[in-house]
Amino acid sequence: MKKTRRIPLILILLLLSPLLLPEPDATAQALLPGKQPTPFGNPAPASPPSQPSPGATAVNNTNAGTSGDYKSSTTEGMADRLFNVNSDSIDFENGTFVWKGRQYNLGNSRLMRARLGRYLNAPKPDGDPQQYQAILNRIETLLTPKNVTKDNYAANLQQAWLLLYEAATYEADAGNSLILATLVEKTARMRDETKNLQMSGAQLERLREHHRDNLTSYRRNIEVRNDTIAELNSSRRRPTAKSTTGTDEALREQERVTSIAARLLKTEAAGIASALRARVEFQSQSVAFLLERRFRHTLLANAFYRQLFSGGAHDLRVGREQVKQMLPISGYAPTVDTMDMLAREAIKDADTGIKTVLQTFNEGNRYAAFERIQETFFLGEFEPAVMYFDPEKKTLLNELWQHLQNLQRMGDERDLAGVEDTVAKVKALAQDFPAVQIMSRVNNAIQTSNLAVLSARQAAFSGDTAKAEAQIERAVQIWPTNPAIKDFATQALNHANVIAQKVPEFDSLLQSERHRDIFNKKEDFALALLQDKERTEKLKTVINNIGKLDGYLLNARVLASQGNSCMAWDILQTATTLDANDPLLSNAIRDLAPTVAHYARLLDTAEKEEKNGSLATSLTAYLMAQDMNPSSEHCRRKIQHLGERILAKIPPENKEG
Amino acid sequence: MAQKTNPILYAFLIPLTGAVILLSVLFLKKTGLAGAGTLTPFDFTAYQQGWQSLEGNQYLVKCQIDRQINYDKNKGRLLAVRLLAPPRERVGVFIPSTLQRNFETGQSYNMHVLIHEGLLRVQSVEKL
Repeated sequence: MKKTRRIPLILILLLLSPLLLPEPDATAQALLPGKQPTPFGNPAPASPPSQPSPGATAVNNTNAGTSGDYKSSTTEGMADRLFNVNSDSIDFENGTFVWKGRQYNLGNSRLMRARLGRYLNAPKPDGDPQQYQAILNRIETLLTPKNVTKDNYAANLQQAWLLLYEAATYEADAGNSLILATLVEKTARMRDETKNLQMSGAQLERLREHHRDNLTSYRRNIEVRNDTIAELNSSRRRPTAKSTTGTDEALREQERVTSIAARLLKTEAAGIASALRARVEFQSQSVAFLLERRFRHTLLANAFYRQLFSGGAHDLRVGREQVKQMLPISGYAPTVDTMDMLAREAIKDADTGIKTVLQTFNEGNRYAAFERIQETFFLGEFEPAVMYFDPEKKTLLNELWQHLQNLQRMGDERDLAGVEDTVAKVKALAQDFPAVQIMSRVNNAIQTSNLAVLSARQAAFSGDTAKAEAQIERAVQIWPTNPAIKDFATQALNHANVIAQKVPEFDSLLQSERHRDIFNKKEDFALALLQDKERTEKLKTVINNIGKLDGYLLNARVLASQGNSCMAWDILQTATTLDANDPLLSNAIRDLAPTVAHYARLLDTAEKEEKNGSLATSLTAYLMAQDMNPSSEHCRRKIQHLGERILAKIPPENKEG
Repeated sequence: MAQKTNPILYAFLIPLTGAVILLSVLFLKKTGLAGAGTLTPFDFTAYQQGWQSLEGNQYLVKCQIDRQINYDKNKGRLLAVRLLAPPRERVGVFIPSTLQRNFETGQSYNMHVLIHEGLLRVQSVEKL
């Protein structure tokens, strides 16, 4: 119980140690003394494996493959809470990708798109991804502190270093392992130089001690001789005189000691500088890997760093600001472990991203899959899981992306008709694409543009040119390629010619009572005669009459189809009052006449008799017709009319019989 | 056994019969149908084919009142009547106001008509 209670306190203290403790003078301890027969001959691990407490072991177990330092695990856990995971986003306009609050500059928009396009079109890299992954894991395992002891330190480092060259042969590695191997070798060489300097320093120290002893001896002899001379002079009552024998030797020794001390200081300074340079170079490369999103190589570089440098040298000398940007904690001092944590988090996110892409793709939600693969690609572009993603799926997603790019371009150009077609193509590829929302907006825009054109047309025809121009401008802004705009322009252009042609034609048709022909061309005549009020009124009359006549024809057709032929005939007779010469009416009468021959003959007789002044016989004929068609309004009206006329003809004073 | 008729009865019956005959003659004379039995029935077909040939003729029209087409209190009324004889068509007849009678739809009459300018002008009527 006591241990478990102590662990959090220890963890917290260790976590806060960069804040609480002053920066250690790591330079003097940066490089470890060792035998170094090969680049890695020094069996002195930077973090010698100790007996961890049970709690620490548990933490280490949950982070298999990490440095084994429980500080990192705790920091990682804390970072999970502190990271704003919702801030991940891609900005194609500025060519940036934001992951956990950190903005990665991926180049300009065009290049960024080109990279994504290249990835979606690219085949799988050569080499077996599992073997490549196994090599990287093997290197990390060899360098894990718990696997490194004084006995196997050099062997593990040597083996891990050689595996870097093997990893570099894979296309997916892009030679980054080679860079790391070179750096490791260079650091080892620097460490040898520092060791030589330390050895020189030790020799100088011994030499300085030798000369310092000589100097002391000389000084002591001079003092003894002076004391003897002083005693002799006092007994002879002579003035005091000092011996100068050995003074020159003492001065020379003094100069030798001073010179050696200076050389010693120079040697120490050179060692410090060499160690610092090695550390800075290593950290620089590690930070470069992180910022380049080579997360696997970041982990490997840090693993080598831990073995090559002492535990006190893990605070970052370079890239502090860049790494701190990813951790929104004030006063936080990032270390190598911090970079480890960020790299592992990124690897985990990339893996999760690819799994999400696969799942959404297989569910048919390819739009979501495309969005996820964009994020995953820009985060983990160099992750094996991303690089070795199924090319067939990538091809489909690339096709979807091409359509989406077209859609975006058409949206920018306001090519609404093109948008409609492309949305249909995208929808065919990705069932989860929000086509309804897009089409709703597109349709609204189309309707608004069309209404503006209509308004412009009305304004133009009423002579309001300013309003027409404004409305056309509005229509163009909304939908530049609206075909109605082109039609309007053509129509406006031909308007003058139309007027010149249509006015004589209208007059001719009106004179020959070809009202139906006028009605059939009513739009053309309406446009042409708009400014001619007199003709416009005549046109309106013709249109109204033919419109009514068409209504009568329709009614007659319906009644005839219902077997009420006499009633249909009546309606046709009424229609003749509007335009007796109408060809459609004539046809209808001709078609119906055989069916209502007797009725029609009666009406004809009645009409003729009325015209001849034989009102009584006309009345009789109408009465007979009414018997055939009791609901005939025509007969009723005529009978009433004739009744009035007959009585009107009879004088009041007429006395019958 | 034969019974002899009382002469007094004859004396009563003879004047009574004469009186009845006299009254009947007076009645018929008064209603204008005294010569109805001699009028020719109205020939609708001939009228329809050419009323001009019937102009001025008088006919007996047996008909049923259909409806009133028009009415003028100073002139009379124009009725549509349906002929009771085939072809049972309707014709218009004018009844002058001097012929003070009530006419209602469905009533049947014998009408003495005169054809004038094609119009059947009623001279007298007898309700059937």
